[in-house]
Amino acid sequence: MFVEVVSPEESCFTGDATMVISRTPNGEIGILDGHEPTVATLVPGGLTIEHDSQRTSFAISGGILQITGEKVIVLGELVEKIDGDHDKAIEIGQELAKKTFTSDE
Amino acid sequence: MASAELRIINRRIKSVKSTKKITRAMELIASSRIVKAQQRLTSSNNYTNLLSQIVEELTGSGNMPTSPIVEGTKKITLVVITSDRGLAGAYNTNILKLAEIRKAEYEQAKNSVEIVTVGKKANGYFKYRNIEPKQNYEGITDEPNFENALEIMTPLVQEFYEGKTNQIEIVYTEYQSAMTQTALYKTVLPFEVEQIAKEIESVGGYTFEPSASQVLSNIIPKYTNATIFSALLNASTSEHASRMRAMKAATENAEELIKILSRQSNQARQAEITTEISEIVGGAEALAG
Repeated sequence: MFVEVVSPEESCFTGDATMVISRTPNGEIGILDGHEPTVATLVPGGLTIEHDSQRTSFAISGGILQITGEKVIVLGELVEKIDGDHDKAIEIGQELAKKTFTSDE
Repeated sequence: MASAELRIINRRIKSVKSTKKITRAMELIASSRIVKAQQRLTSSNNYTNLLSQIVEELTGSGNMPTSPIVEGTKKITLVVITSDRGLAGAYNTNILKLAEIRKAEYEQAKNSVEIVTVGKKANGYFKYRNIEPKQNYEGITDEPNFENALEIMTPLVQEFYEGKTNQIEIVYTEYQSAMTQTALYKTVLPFEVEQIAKEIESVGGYTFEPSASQVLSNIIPKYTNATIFSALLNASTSEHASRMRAMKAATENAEELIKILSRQSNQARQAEITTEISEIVGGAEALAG
């Protein structure tokens, strides 16, 4: 499936991937090919993409994830590429989130 | 006498030449910055477009409906985006004029207007007219980044939810091309959330995590942040474009002036030589006589 990760400042990742791992208010989700169309809120934390049998992790301050038939779009406000695993990305992502305002409604 | 005139003209030529150097340098700086600013604008447009695409797929229209102005007392916050430095042609004047018009319109409809300024020029303008801006941000407009957008937006959104302000509007310059930039205003908040939420649920087709209304209330701050960020980038690109144009014109004027002045200087020099020769000839004739 085709994955696109975009922040307002740059396009962080575009390409084919086998799996996307992130976190919604309901818990961690892993997205594989053929997932049903979904729009999800992402909570601050990590975003890991498995592609070409390797993993790339991003710290994300929160965002929107949209799954259509063949495409996964992740819109993050503050996104940073991390040298490290998913757990580290989560840690840094929560740090990033302190800079943004999220309504409590 | 003649040599004094020559000295004055030469001094002026020198000063115009150094002015030209400055304007030329500013033109070059602006034109190199504009390229970078345009790239940033394009990538931010990418994000904004994807975001409105999602909103569009959810609601059937790309723009979040904003509520119209209602008569009566409302507290309105105008965010005016100008530059920190001058020498950018009519850039700041245009934006401040528009801000002044919007403010007058709102006040005529009996609303109270508060001003938030981005850029030294706006701050100075309103302070001079005894209007104290609620907030002032400086040092952002040269190269705005997303954190700047958050810095501006976060306190405003908070005030909005606390009811201290009912409407947030930005006044900025939109970058259309290197030649055309237009001063614009845009309402950032409020959105008619409930209406959209109903529409979304009725359209269907998507699963929502955790729920349609929660996804929506999450999208709204993203949308407002993206709006202000894109306004900042537009303003910054426009500023560089205006400065480039203004400085180009200034450089050309300086060249023209140098041309005129050096003609005058040549004339004065020639007059001086002629005077000297006629003095020598006159003297020689007097001696011979």
